Amino acid sequence: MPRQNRATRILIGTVGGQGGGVLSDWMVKGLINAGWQAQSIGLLGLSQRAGSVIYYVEARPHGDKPPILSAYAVPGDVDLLLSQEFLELGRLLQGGFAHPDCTIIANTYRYYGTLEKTPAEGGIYPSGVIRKAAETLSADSYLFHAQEVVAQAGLSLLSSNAVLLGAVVASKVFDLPAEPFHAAIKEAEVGVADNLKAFDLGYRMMRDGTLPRALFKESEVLDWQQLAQQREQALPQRRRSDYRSLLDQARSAVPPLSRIFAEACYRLLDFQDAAYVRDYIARVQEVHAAETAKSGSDSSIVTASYAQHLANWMSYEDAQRVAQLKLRPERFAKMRQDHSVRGEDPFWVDDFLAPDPPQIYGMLPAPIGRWIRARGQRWRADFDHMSMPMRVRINRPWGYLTMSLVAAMRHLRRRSLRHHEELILLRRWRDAVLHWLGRDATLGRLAADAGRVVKGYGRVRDKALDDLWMFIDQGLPLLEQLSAAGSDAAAVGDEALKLLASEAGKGAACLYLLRDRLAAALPASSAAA
Amino acid sequence: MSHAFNTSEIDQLEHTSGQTLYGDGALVVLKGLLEAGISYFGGYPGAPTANLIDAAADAYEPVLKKYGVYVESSANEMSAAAMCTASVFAPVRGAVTWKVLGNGVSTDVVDHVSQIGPLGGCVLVVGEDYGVSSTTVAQRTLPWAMKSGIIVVDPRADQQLLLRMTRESFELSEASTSVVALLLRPQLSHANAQVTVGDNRIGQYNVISKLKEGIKDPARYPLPPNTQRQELERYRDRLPKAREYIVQHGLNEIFGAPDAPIGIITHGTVFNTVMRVLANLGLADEDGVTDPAISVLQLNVVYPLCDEQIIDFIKDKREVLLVEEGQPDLMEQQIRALLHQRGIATPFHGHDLIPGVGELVPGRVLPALAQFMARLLPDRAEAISATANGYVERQKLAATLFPKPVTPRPPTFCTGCPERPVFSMMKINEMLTGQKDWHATDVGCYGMAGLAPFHMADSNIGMGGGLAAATALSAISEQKNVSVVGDGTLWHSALNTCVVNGLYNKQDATYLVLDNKWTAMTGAHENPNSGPQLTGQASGGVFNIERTFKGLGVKHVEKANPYNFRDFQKKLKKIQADPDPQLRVLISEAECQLQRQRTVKPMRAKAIAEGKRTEVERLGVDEEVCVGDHSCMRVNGCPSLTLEESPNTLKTAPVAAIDTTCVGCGVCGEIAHAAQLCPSFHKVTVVRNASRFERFMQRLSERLLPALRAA
Repeated sequence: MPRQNRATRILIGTVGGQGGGVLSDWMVKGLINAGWQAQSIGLLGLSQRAGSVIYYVEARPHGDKPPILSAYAVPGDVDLLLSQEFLELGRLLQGGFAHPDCTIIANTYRYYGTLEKTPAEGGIYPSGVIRKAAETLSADSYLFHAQEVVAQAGLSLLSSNAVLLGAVVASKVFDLPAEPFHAAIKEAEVGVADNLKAFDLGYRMMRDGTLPRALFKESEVLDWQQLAQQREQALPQRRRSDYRSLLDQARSAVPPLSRIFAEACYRLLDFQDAAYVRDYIARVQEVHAAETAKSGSDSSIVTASYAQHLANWMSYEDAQRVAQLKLRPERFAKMRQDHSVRGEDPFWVDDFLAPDPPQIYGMLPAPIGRWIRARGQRWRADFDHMSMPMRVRINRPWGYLTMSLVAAMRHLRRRSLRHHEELILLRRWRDAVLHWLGRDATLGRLAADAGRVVKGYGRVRDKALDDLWMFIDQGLPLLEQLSAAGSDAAAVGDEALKLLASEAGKGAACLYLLRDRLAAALPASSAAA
Repeated sequence: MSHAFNTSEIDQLEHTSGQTLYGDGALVVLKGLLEAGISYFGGYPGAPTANLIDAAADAYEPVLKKYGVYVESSANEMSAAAMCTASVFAPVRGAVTWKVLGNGVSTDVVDHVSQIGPLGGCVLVVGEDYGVSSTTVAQRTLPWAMKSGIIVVDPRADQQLLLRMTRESFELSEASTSVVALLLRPQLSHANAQVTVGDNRIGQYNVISKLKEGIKDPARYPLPPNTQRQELERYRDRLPKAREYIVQHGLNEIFGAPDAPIGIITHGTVFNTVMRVLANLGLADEDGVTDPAISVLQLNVVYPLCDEQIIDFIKDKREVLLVEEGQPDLMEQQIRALLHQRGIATPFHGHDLIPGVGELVPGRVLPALAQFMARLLPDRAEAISATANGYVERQKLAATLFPKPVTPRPPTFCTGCPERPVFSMMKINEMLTGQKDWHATDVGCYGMAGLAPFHMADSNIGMGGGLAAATALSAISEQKNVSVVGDGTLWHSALNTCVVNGLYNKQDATYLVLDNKWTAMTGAHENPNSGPQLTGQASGGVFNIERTFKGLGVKHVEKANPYNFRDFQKKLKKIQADPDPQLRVLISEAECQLQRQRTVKPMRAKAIAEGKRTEVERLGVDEEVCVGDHSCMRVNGCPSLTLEESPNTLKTAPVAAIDTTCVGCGVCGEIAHAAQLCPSFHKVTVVRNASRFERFMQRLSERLLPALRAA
């Protein structure tokens, strides 16, 4: 039978606590004001606390009979998918709700969930997947960063929901006048002035075709020259010429690595001095020489990995480095901006520092540091793990002075115990990279790439180092066997490193994974044999 | 304080016949209660009917008080149910509400009220919550109600009908001297729509115009020799009267021609899903007009079933399908038994075709209904199957576009929540010592500790039973027991169920009481700890958790502020190290941050506007110092602690960052201290409207310290 009086279906994806209730209320009240019959339903559960919350609206112009509405959306039968946040759009699309002729209006703003934030790496869901899905499932999608749009218009960020509503009302799904919705916004008594302006903005942009089809807030990717220019500007005047010549030197050594060098030379020059950067370049060249010998003159994959992680490792975060970074004028300028400190508003900054003894005696010349460590460990077994929490008010004279002293210790860094120990660790990693590179280019690349897990402070960094040596000493031999058994060592190795990099202390889990893969690969290959 | 409703919403409760009301299902039900002329109202908040408590609380001063309605902030569902005794011994109407789990809490009392039988209409508004977004273990009210002879009204999702069914529930209750359970599902409770209302009524007896005395009648005493007689009356007289009323007043509805060859029987909000699926298959429109071949019997009352009505509907049909949601499927069993008794041979289907377990969302109903209809309507089979397949294909296509499933977004403790640091501390202790305790949690926000990132709720076993859940378990295990309870749950039932039980039986456990002054999980409701009642009336007692425990004879009671990490850690360690095998209590006292901000934020804005000196605190993370290891996320999980791209293009991990929603509680910094994580966290305190001296000192330090000079 023919379907008369079909209600328009709108599914709204939101994050709990972000005003989804207000948004759906505006919509329903506005539709009622416009002479429609409308109903919304929000399924909250516990999710009002930053979980996923879906609202569903059904509406149609007033008829003679009350409509029989559905409380739930039917997959494949939604006319408008509206989302306050981009991952939530992904959730709706994945649910298969989009109708072949549906319109999608979504905020590309990302509000990361707990499960995206907990892994150290690779936790953030790729927006590209959601964008592709939206553009595949609908011929009429508007994906734009609503907060950016309202901010550019000088409106409060909280009015981003109203800009979305304006776009919805003017879209082909409704194409209704604005007044009934103005009334609804006024009635709700939430940020009325800005919300009205934001609504009109969205409404107008949809009407005159200026609403972006795809606007993502992404930092632009700089090429190496732009990056080098920015980094040079960040250095004090007297070090800029050093930077330029060091960068030239590095680039002439391994030209394809310009972008890595633009960052690395800046970081290491800032960390120590020109000689330190030259040492870095020499270390990179050593691996590059081995790689070209192994894989031919135009290969630099292993070198790239090594150069990237070596630069991070060589600018390790000792107490001197932390103090240096915390005293940057840029840091205080950023704070003034982030915390909207106006002109002469007094403000103070309390830094939460929790150094352990190794971070403190590590700053001292190696013999003295060793002596203190020996004494301390004789005094108590957990000496190295003692907690020394302190709060330092860094922008007041006493805190500033203390931190300046610590930062100044970086001039003695080359003689410090910590530096001696780092050099030994770096040598061990370098030897491993060269060893495995000699055996197999892929395994060499994995050995270099494993350097990325080395990060953190104190206990966390100790765990990360354990992970690294576990991977190098036990993981790579397993990967070699896997390769011999005909498996794709590169893919398995990358998977293992992904696990390793997700959290310090995953070394054992990583080895289990490799042993499992090997066990799975072996019978197949022996059967083939 | 106001809960979820503003004045203009509440004002609509006084609208008269022919006027409209816009609101959610809770407001509609409250309007229905007023139109029915109730004299008392109470209950315990819980999803999906917490908003009904909100509505009644917000309406008390402006509306309910005038009508003489006695409104109680019941201590728990049993207290609420006991209040219904008023309808048993006086001709007054009243209603109480709770979530579906409250059925069990109230059972003993409700059984008595039901057996004696109320004289005035007595309605339990139950938050039926069988669905996927439910916050309870899956269960239906139907089996619970049936064993106690309680009538179950289960309206379809239509707010106008809900208003009518609320009024009818009282008539039905009085016509049959029975208790009525009105199921308020989230599909109704959380739906917003506009309805046309009727006039309010004032109950004959109420707080203002009082009854002289209650009815004294020894024959109504619910003990032998009366019990068997009352049981007989219930099934011989009272429930048959209910059936009569249901049929006479058309509480169940038929859509389509009654003599159509194909019949579908639905109940509750399943009706809406079935009608929508029929519409999508081209077998109905959205006005409730079905295909001439189909008629639908919608049961808005699912117990008692009206035998004759059902027989009439089924007997001449070609085939009939019952779409019943969930288990136990007592409707199907009753109808099958009835058909068998009467020797009716009409082919009857139910859970042989429709998924028998779990919520009937459209995606599960559509294939089953399409198959049934395609078989019975061969000339349209192709079109029906094609439509159904179209939906399936669409879903398949969507699935292929997401090779990596979209990351779930579990709920988490609010920004600045005083409960999170307690779990952070326990997680840090576990990390540092390797000792894993058994965490027996209870029902409240802190149950979220069972989710990411903490996973520190090993058992969660029903409201008020948390600590008691670990009695035998801790006796037979070497693991130490740490149990958590909130103030709301403590006063609801845990004091008796857990504390008295634990003391009496010498339970060896650490009991953490998270006292945040609110029943927060339900959306911030007052409890005995908060001070006033839900309605804003003064409390009759002063409730002090510490004194209560001491009065009960708990020997080791500590109290600490969870934001003061060091002190809290010290007390936590001390209480856990206590070698005495006894009940030890640590009270964590700090107000619910969500509630606190509701008062603090406007006050601060006002102070700044008035030119008063105000300190504004917020935390930050140094993007250059953060190494992107995200340990802070794994022991914290504050919503304001988020991620940003690293300023170092060589770093593969994003760095931590704190957004502007931070309330400055300082917990993330304390965690960095306690877990020795990293030196990235800092607290920035900005002084608005500072004195000239302070501004001078700021200028001076900026003059002295080169890095601080504003660019």
